[in-house]
Amino acid sequence: MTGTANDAVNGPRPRDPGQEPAAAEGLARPSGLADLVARLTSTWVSRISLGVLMVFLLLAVFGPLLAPHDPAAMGRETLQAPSAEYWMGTDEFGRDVFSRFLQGTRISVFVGLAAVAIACVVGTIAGMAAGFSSGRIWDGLIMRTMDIVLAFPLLVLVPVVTGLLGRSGVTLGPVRLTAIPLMTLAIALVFVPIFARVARSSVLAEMEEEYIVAAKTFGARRRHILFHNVLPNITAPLIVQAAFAFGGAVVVEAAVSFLGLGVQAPDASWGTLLADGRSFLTLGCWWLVAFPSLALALTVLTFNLLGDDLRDHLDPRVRSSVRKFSRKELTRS
Amino acid sequence: MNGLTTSTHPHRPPALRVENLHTVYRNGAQETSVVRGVSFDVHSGEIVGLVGESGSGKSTVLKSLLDLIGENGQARADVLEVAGQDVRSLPRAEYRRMRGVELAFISQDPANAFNPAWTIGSQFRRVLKRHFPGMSRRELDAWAVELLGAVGIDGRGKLDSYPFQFSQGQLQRIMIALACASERLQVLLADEPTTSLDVTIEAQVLQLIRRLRDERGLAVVLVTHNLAVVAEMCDRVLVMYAGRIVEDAPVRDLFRNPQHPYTRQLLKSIPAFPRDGRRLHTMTGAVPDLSIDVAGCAFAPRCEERISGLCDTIRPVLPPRTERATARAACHVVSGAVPAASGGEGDG
Amino acid sequence: MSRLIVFRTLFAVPVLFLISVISFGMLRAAPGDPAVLQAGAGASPEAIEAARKQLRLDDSLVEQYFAWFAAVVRGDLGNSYTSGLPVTELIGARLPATVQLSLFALVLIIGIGVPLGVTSALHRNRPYDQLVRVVSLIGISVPNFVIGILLILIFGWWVTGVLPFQGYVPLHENAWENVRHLILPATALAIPEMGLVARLTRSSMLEVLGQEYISSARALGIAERTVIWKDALRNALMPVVTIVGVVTGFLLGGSVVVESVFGIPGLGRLLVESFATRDYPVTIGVMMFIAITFVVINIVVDVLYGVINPRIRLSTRRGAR
Repeated sequence: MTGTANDAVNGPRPRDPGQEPAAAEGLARPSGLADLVARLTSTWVSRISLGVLMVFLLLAVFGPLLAPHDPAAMGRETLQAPSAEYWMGTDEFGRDVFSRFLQGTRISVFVGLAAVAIACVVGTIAGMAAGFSSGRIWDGLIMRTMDIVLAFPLLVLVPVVTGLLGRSGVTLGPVRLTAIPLMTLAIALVFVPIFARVARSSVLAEMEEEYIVAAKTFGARRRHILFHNVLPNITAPLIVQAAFAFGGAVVVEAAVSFLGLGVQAPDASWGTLLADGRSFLTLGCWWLVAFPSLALALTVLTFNLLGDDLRDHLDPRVRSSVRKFSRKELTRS
Repeated sequence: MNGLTTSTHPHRPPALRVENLHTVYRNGAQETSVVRGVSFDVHSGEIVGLVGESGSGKSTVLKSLLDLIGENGQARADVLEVAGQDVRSLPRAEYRRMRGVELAFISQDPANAFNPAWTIGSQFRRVLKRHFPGMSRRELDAWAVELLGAVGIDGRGKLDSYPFQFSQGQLQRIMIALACASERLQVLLADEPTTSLDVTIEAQVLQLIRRLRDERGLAVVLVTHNLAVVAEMCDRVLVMYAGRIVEDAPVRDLFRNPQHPYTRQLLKSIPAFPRDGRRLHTMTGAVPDLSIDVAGCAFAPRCEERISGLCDTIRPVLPPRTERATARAACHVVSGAVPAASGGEGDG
Repeated sequence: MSRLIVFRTLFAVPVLFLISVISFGMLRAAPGDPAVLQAGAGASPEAIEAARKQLRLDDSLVEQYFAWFAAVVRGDLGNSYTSGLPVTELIGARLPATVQLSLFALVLIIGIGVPLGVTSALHRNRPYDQLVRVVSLIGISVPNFVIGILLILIFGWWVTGVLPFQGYVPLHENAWENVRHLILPATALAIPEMGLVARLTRSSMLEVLGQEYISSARALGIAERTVIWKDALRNALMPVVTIVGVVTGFLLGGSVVVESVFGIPGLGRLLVESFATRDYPVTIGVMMFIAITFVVINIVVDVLYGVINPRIRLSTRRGAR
């Protein structure tokens, strides 16, 4: 159904002369990670998106050091609008919103990153295992499990897991998981199926490629094929997914914390800042909610843009067709 | 429309006349001129082949005639007459109403030429309604079955089937039945109607087109890159290269005595032509980049007979059509600027 | 057709089974002794013992599961720890608000998202299209509860008295107030999905408009309006129908947060409230209810897709051989 979606999006070009430049481009284009890095720095959309990511990362790492005030220190000046002293105003306890925002940024960004990293690793392994044993029992088992996870609306599953188990914490052997790590795991769980599906379909597409067949005829071991031949070639679509997932994970964290089920006081995240600020909306205290709102929207927007941009150029279908073409060209010359 | 003149007689107004057609596609800042001043006419009862490599602009000519090039394309012509009427002066909606009535189109991809969501019957009904506004649904269906019968398909009970339930060959015949449903049809444009069909089905479809021409005196433009189809079907052939017509010849002349060096190379690259057991000719080079316009002959870089200093600087033009001349070619070598380098397919 | 329904339903059975296993697992993994919680604070040891018997906590987990599952199939999701009322009854009481909110949002999403996508595709690359694309991308990117907060800021502080921004009036009490109270929450819930649907409709429409059958309809002289609104739209909407199933799932999940923002006594609020009182049967009951609803909606959407797509409808019929 979506076979020609890309053609439709890019609009009809004069059909006949279109072939030649595409092939040339295919030849010039390196594949895999090198391609991705080149792509990430080539368009202004991806450069700005990367810039925003860097800013948030830096704020997350160094933010609390930059904080002009102690985020927990209460003051007499309550519910002050933004000023030179309090860049983002103060809350009902007279705390500096900017300092709290920096503290919240750290948690929001780290939870998002950690959740996506876990989901990506687990999902990729599961998806590759499924794709590699395609048609056999493991494939069905893994992918049906993924279907079930997807059957839970994510904004129900995460709060339930965190709300149910997070309050008292869960002890797994020597590790004791408190609310925030538990929420991170729950968010990761929600995103695992997405990575698994992408990894599986990429593996299936890649296994059709002739170089895999060639590797097999050389007697390469399965594990070797999987990690040395297949994995490097499916990273691009996975990274595209990770870009989308990061935006999603940050929103889920914010939603769960907003409901009061995730991050708990005295910690803060963009979600808890919004929850704290909502009681004062009718008093016109816009500064309490404006900055976390903006941060959330900006994060999701830039990552949607980044993901779109990457996908346009790294779409597995487009990629594999281009690569096939270029190989044909190579053998001809 | 009496029988006083023969069907291909030049004195009768042609069913389709095109003068100086230009089509440009725009992609961002880049302009690609795909059709560059094409003129030809087709008389009733005549099948004219439009041949060339892919990228030569032959399909775009048909799309331009139908006003079906996308919004980033633009076509203009000095004259565009269908059934004696200059359609350039018509409002778009008016010209739209002529499509499917006076002129019709058959695409190269029958499987995708039908709306997948509707039954064949409903697709017939809505076209037939335009031709016979007063008909009831039953009458329309009966008429559709009759039209299908004319193309060799038993339509009874099949009107409720969906396009995907038919084979490619059946769909192409249904498409022809649908395109020729109008009794006032004069011009049929066929864009590689048989490329997606296998050989036996191809013969049936070609046979069908020829029969329609014979029975209804249609003027047919047949776009193809298959010279075997040309030899079998066409009365006259237009050879296109890089958006221009480089040779216009009756089909016999074209195959016996091709004029333009490009045509000669094209003929040498058909399997089994000429049947001399020699190696098949492979054309060197590629279709030129249409976003730039060269000063001389577009074929010069690939031409084995090019005259340096002439072919790459001055563009040869197609001589005007006269009463006597049968074949004409846009080539300095042919038009006698210098004696022709060789007399046919002798060299290789 | 009926074959398609049966097939899809059978396919959902393992999913539903696992949902029930996970739900039960969570119910038992939740902290605290269920018997103590069920009996209520300060209950006598006898009462706790009675609750333990009733929940069959002394049996093996497998036996407990089957007893619980049998009850669930009968429509018994257990009783609330706090109020002692049946969970199904609590869900029933909260359902109308959530259903109304979701339907309202769905109407907005389809009623605005689809026309936006279609018109955007028809004006491809012109300023209108660029505007729609930018707006829908922003719409997708702003989470619904953030939109809700901004709406409250606007209607609760800036232009007060125009629209109510808190609470819910049941339909049978006052239909007009009911609708008025739902406008802002439904808008907040709808905007992100609206952007999604608009984008999907646009790309789907563009794909269809590039198809050969559109050219051939035009070549047959079919009026441009008919070509676009009948030939193209019907085919373009097929993938949109499938996404509506997913969107409905988002709406049910999204309503959890949006109901909390706008103080609407729906399922989402019930879920959040149940955490505060550690009322686990209610939490799990609501979660299971939403998950099952999601599965059922997806079956309905798949069947609907079969109805509008003759290829699927007829192929399953032929599959009967």
